[in-house]
Amino acid sequence: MKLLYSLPEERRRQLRVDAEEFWYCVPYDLSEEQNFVSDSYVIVTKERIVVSRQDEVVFEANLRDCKQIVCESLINNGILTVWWKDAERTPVRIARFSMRWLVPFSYIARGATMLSQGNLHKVVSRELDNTCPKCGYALPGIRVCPHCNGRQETLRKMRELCRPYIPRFLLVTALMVLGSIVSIAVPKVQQQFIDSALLDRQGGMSDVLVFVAVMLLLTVLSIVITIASNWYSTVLGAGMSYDLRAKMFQKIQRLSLSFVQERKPGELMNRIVSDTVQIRRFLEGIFSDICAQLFKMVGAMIVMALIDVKLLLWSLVFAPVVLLGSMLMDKQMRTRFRRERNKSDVLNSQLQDVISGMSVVKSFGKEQEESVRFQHVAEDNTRVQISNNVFFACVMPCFVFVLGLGVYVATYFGGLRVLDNGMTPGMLMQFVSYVSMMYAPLNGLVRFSRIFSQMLTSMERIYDILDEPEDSGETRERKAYAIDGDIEFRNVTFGYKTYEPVLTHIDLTVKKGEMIGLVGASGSGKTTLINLLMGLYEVDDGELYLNGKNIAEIDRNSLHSQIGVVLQETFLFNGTILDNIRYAKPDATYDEIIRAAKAANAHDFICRTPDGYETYVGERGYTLSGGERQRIAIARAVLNQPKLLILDEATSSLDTESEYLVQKALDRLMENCTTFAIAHRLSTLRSADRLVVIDGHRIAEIGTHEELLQKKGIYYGLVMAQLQMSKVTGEAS
Amino acid sequence: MGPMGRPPGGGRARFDRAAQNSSMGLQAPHQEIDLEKMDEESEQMLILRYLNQDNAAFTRTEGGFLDLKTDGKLYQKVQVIRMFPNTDKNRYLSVREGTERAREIGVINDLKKDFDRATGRAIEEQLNVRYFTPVITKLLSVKEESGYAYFVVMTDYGECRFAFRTNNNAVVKLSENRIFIQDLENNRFEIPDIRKLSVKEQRKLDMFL
Repeated sequence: MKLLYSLPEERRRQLRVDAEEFWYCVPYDLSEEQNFVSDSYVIVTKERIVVSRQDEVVFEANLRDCKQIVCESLINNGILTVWWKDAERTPVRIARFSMRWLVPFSYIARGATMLSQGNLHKVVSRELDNTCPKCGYALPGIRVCPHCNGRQETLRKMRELCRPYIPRFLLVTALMVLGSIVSIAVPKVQQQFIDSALLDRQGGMSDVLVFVAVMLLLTVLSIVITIASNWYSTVLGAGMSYDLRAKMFQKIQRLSLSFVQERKPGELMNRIVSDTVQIRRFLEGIFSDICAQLFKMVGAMIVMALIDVKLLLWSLVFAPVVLLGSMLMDKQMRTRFRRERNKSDVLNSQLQDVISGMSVVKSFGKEQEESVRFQHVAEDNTRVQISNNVFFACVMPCFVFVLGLGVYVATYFGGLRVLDNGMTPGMLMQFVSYVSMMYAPLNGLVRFSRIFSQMLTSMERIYDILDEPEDSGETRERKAYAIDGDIEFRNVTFGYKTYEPVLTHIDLTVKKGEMIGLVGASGSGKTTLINLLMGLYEVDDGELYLNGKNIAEIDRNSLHSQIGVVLQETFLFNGTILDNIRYAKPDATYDEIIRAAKAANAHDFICRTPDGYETYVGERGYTLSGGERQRIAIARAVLNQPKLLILDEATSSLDTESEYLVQKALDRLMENCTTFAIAHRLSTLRSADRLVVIDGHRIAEIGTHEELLQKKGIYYGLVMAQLQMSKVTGEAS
Repeated sequence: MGPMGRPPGGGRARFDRAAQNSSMGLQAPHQEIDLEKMDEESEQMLILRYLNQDNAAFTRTEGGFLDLKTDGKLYQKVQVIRMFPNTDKNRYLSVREGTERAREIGVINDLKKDFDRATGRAIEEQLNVRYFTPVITKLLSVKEESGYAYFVVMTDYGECRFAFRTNNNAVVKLSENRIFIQDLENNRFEIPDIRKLSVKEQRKLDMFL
């Protein structure tokens, strides 16, 4: 999101900020008097924070006097507060804003606080706007407002995308042209037959036979062409959406984790699945359908003009009426369908509510009330359905009549021409056929423009991903590199959002083979430290070295193949236990797998399952307990003989006894392996060589269990608290 | 409704015993304090303390916040929270510490009755800042495009425009005629009674209900 809005020169002069460089400038939209305000800004320069309301300065302060600038999130709005260094002064509310501005203000609050401490680092926001700041248009996960910037860019991309498929497009188009020629030929043949054979009863048996044969041929030809053209446009649409999907999937895999995490997982899935489907549907259905009709329409109009231009113009009289009618009809249909769908959603959710809560309903004796409530909703639903059905039953035939109005005009004027001998009866019939051909696509055109714009939105969402610049680190060349477990954090600072550091100034040197226990309250940054070690994020400041090599220069694949990870949330893929254990090393022998399973204390329970190592697990498979899943995950992590083992609450679901067993086995197996372990249960970490206590975004204490106990600091407090709690719960129960 | 008394002391006795046992077992002097503190905290948790003119003095600070003096203690920048924000705006207000934990200091039963006008206004100011739900009085324009609805409305805060997704439960029916609309930015708008809108406006709105 934009954190630096610009002000016109004159306004800067009026506010007397024209001499200073703006660091941040964001508008706010609510006043103290419960009104929306416009043209009002919070301006942060290197030295000052200024709040303006139109041409007036309503608050200003020197950043040196400020201790902190805080963005507080209230109920559906937020405020910006200044806290003073002088403790005597009470904090001041300087601006109030709707949710639209909450994110930018939380960034600039952080940025301004940093400035007040003399830190000149500029914070940036990677979040995307939900709506266009200029026009208020919704931006569903896209950066450029299609409304403000026009759709040229997207159309250009569309052309780009279509380029490799041009031969196939040409083929489909050629088929369509051919199809429309055949359609246009039919009335012509009929005209010939009527005028030359039927009119004066001059023709004979042979004429009738030839006519029937030609008509049959044309029909068959038309069917064949339609099938071919549908076939090829389906192939084209499916091919393009397949290519797009593959491209997007590859791209998402290459993008940094932060890009993926900034977006909701469902949303990314949607883009790969539904947005590409949208494009396929467009090409398959709408494109082939509407284009074929359009070709027919144009062809028919050309032939009509050749027959009689005046008559053509007369026939067109009702075209605007039909277009308008189509537009109204389209709107009505959408509104009515939506209403019906909404009502049936309400009905379904109500039904689901009652059925899944049946035991509660019954135990409170509320059956009667629930029935009445349900009846209410059901009646509502029925009312809408009846209204819709009546509407369509009455209006549809009228609409079809309107669509055919052109034919009446053409017949009237054409009939007069025939009586004047200006036209043969056959030609009149031919002409009238063309009129209906000309009117047919008008109804579709309305739909077309709507679906076309939906398709473009999908395109924009797809290109939002395809155009995203890849990981900043990619600029540095990364190479495969063998690590052996020496690790060094040098003054590392990192935050998922630049305005909110999670870890600051981390200095830590770990020797090969050491076991490090990470201790700290939830949210203190233990998992973050591990994420950095795994190279999932890049450090904001400072360096992280593995064996003296900067982690930014190590190829991620090579790095990950040397790290074993067991996370708190154990994720098993759909497949057998065997597949899951050898995920990291597909060529592992049975022998290696069994050893790994034994080390993880998983072998015994695996043998107890009916299918042994071939037991199917995952979403629809055999249900494993939390402890069993963790043990499989541990086996998976150690199979590879990693140089660095990361255990994030890896044994939290095990009972104390099996935890002890697993730890002993891991100790033996992992002699040369550096281990980082996070655990809330401190007893888990007793075999750690050193414990690192993280508190207040930094390393607060470091040392062995004994050293830290003697120090009587945070760790001591944690140990004592846990001891106490276990005593209390133990003895009270 | 009067302040709730202390609950009968069963729970307390058990915790005291536990505290004694553990302190004997560990021989560490400062542990008792921790447990006692927690004990006290759980006790505090159950207290429902009503604030009124006689036992609480609110003062508006220069910076636009509220300080509270009660029970011999001064709390700075207290928060006032509505327990029933949608139905009873001036009753059952929870007054909380301005710290991150925001512990409850007390409850205002009825703002209009329990405090004088001036204090009432100062507290109301805090509520007005905390809660932002513009009330829609008129629908000026309603448009729909590609699954998004665009509204231009007149509210008690003035004219504004907003957008929401049409298939996303953005419109919540609070009762038969009262609705909330949540826009794409997570702002919330209220229509207290849709029957008060004109028939034309109601028809426009009906599409989204």
